[in-house]
Amino acid sequence: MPPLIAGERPVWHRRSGALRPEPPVTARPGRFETSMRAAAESAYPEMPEPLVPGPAAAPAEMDAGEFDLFRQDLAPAYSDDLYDETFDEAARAPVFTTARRQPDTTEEPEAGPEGYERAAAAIARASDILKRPVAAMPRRVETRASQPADIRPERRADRRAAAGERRDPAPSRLAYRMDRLWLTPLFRRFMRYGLPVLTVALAAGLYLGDADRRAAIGDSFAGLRAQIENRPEFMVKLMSIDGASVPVANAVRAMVTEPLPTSSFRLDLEAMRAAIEQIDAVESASVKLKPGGVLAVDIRERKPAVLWRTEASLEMLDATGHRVATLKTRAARADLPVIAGVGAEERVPEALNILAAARPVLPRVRGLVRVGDRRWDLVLDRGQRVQLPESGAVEAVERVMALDTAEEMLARDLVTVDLRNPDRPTVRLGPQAVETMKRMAANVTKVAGQ
Amino acid sequence: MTGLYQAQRAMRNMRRAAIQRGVVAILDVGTSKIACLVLKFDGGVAAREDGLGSMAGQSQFRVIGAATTRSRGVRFGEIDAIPETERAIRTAVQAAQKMAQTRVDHVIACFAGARPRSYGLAGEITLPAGQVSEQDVGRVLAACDVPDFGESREVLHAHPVNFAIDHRSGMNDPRGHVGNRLAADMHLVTIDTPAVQNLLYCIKRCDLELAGLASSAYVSGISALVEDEQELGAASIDMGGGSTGISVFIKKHMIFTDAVRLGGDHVTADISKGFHVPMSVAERIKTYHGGVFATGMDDREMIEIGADCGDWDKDRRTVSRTELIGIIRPRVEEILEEARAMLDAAGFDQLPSQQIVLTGGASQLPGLDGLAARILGQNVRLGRPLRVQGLPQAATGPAFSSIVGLSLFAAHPQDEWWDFEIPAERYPARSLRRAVKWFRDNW
Repeated sequence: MPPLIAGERPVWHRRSGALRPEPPVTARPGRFETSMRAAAESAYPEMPEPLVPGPAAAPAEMDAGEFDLFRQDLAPAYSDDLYDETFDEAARAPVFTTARRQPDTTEEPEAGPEGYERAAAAIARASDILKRPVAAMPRRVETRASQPADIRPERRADRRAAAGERRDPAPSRLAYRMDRLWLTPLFRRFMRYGLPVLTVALAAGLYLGDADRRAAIGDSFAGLRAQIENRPEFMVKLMSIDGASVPVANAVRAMVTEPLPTSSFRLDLEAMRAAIEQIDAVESASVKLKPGGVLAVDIRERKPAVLWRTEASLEMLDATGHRVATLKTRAARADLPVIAGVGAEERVPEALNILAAARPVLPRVRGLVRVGDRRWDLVLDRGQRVQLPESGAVEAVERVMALDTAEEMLARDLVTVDLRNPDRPTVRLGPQAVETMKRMAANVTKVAGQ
Repeated sequence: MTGLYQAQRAMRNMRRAAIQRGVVAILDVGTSKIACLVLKFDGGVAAREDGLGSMAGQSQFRVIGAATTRSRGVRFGEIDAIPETERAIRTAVQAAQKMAQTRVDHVIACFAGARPRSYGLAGEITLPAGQVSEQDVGRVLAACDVPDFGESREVLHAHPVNFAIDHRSGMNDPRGHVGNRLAADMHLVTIDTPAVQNLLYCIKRCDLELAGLASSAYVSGISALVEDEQELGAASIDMGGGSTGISVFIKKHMIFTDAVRLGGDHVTADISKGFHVPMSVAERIKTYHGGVFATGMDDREMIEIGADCGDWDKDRRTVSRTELIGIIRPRVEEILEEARAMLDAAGFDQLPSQQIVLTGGASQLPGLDGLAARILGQNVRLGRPLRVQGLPQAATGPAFSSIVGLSLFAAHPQDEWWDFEIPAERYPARSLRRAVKWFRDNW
C-alpha cells in the first residue's frame, strides 16, 4: 500500500533498496497514455526528471501492520488497510503530465522533405537506443509503470479479499502468551544468564564425570607445564657463592639439594635462603636469580670473637655469643681469647668488655672462667687468678689494672687477687712470697726482740 | 449493592497492587480503534497533602508503551463479537508491551457504550458524635436511597459530589466539621451488565486482570477540560466512532453523563451508502476531504471516489466536495442536536459557565466547531488531551483524550463511594451471629 502522504517524503523503496523521494501521485493514466509514455521512456531513457509521475512510479508498497499507527499524518487512528490508495494535495491538484512534447516515433512527420529527414533521424536514433542491452536501460523502464494499466497485477489486499481471507494482525493466543512470558523479567533473566550457565555447568559436569578424562586433562596440563618450565630461558645452570670462606661455601653447596641445572620454577629461593641461614657460620644470606641462569648466593659470615671451651670441644663464638664453628685446636686461632665455665657462652658481650678492660695485661691473659654461672675469674699465666665480683666486674678489672700499673702488682708472686667484695680486696700470696713474708716477719721480731 | 461494592473495592485493591508493582496497562476499547498505553509508576515525587506536585501531580507516572489497532468486533462502543475483540485487544496489548519491554498484568479499561445513565442521589444522617468522622461519610453515602435502575444494570461510578452539614452546603470534604445532620449528594452512573461482562471476559481471555473500569465520557472530560472549566461548569462531548459521550462537570465533579449512540462511523456509513463506495474508501474520503461548510470553491473541487470493478465509467467517478459535505453535514447536525437535547434535559443551561468542549476522533472534522457553535451555543472549543509524560506525539490528538484521561484516572482516581469503609451496621447480621457462635463453641 502506498504511503499516505507521498509528495517529497522520502520512502524506503523496497525493490531498489534506496531511500528516495516519492514523485507525486496522480490519477491513473489511460491505456493510450501509458503506452505513449512507455514509448517515450524507452526512447529517451537519459531524461533526468520523471516523464510522467504516475502511481506505478511509486510502488513503495509498505506492508504495514495494522498497529503501526501513531503516525502524525494519520491523526484519527484508522487502520492502514482503509487507505489502499494515496489521496493527498498532489492528487487533488489538476492532473497534467510533465512529459515533454518530444518528437515521437508515433507522431505524424511534418510535411516537407526536411520534416521527413528529421523524423527519419529521430526514428534511427530511437531504434539505436532501443538496440542497447537491457542492463543499460534505466531501472524505471522495468517497473510497473511501463505496463499497461489493465494488465497490472492485482494488489495484495485485493488478492486477499478475492480469496475471502483477511490478514489478521492479532497474535495467536499461544504467541501472545509466549511473548508475555518472554517479557517477564525473571524469566528473561533466567534465559539470559541462568540457562547458559546451567548448560555449560551441566556439559562440564558430564564431561568431567569420567575419571580417565580428568586424569588425561591433568596429564596434558602437567606436560604443558613441564614443557614451559624446561625452556632454556628458565633454566638455572650454575651457582655462585660470594662472601663465604671455602668451608662455609662447601656447607652452602651441601644445603642446596636441587641438582643443577634445573628450572627456576622448581627453586624455592626463600626456603633456600632460610636453609643457608641455618648454618651457624652464616649471619645472613641473600639468594637471587641472575640473568644467564645464575643462582647468586651472597653470604655474610659471622666473625668469631671468642673461643668457648667446654668439656667436649672448643667452639668459636661471635660477639653476640652465637656459635660460629668448632675448632680442633686452640692454636688454630691463637688470637682469640678463651672463655669457659657454665653459662659463659650466654655472657659473651660481658666477657668481651672485661677483656677489653684487661687489655694492658692481655698477653698474660689465659682466659675468663665463669664461676657458678654467677661471676667471672680472669685467669692469667703463672696460675694467677683475678676473682671478679658479680656486678661491676669491669670496674674491678680497671682497679686491678691501675694497681698493676702503679705497683706492678700482678708481676709479683700473687696467686689470687680477690675482688669479690669491693670493700675488701684481698690477695693471696704465692708460696715463695709467703716464705719471704715469714722471714721478714722473723727479722722484724728479732730486731724487735734485740 | 453490597456485591458491587465488594467488586469495586477489589478492583481498587488491584489498582493499588498494580501501582505498587510499577506498571499498569490502560486500555480504551473504542468502536474505531483500540488503544493501549503502558504506564510506569516510579513513585517519583511523593504526593503532597493536597494531591498536587510538579505537573499538577501527574508526574508520578510515565507512558512507556503505546499502541493502537483498528478495532474489530465493537459496535456503538460495546463489544459485539467477543473473539474478534479479544484478538484486537491482544494485538494492542502485545504491541504496547513490546514497546514498553515489559509485561503488564493489570489493566484499567474504559469504554463508551453500554447505555450509561446517570442518577443524582441524596442521603442524610444525624451525626451521633457531633463531629463528622470517616465512618459518618461512609454511612451517609450508604444512606443514599438508591433508585431502582432495573434489571441487568451495574453501577460504574458513584461519586459523592457534594456534602452538606445542617445548612452549610457545597463542601468537598466534611470530615472534622461539627453539626447535627450530614447530607450527601451522590452521582451514580449505571451501565448495562452484559457489556461489562463481555469486556471482563475479553480481558480475562488476554490473561490480564482488570484493575479498574471507567466510563469513556467521564475520563475524556478529565483530560480534555482544563481545570477552571471543570470547576465552573463545562460539558465534554467525546465524539467517538460509534458513540458520542457527554459528560458535564462542575466543581471538579462529574454531575451528568449520557451517550448518543451515533458517531463518526455513521458519517462514514452515510458516505458509503450515498456514493456507493466501500467503507474504507468512504472513511478515507471523509478524513481527507470531509467538512461541514460548503463554499463555492467546493463545487469545483472534484474528488475521485473510484472503484476497482473494471468498468471504466464506474472506476472514474468523481464527486464534488459540496456533495460530500451535503452527506456529512446532516448526520453531524443530528449528533449535535441529540447532544443538545441531552444537555437541555440535564439542565446544562443552569450552570454558571456553559463551556462545551468537543473532543474525540470525530471532532477533527474541519469546521465542526462552527457548526457546533450554532447548535450548542457560543462557548464551544475543540479539546485535546492533557500532555502526560512520555506520551508519543502521535497520541496527543483528540482521539486519545479518553485514554489519556484514563491514565489520569488510574493515577489519581476521584473518591467514589467504595473508597469509604462500609459502616458496620450494613454488614449482614448473620456473620456477626456466626462469629458469636464460633466463640461459644470454641471457648
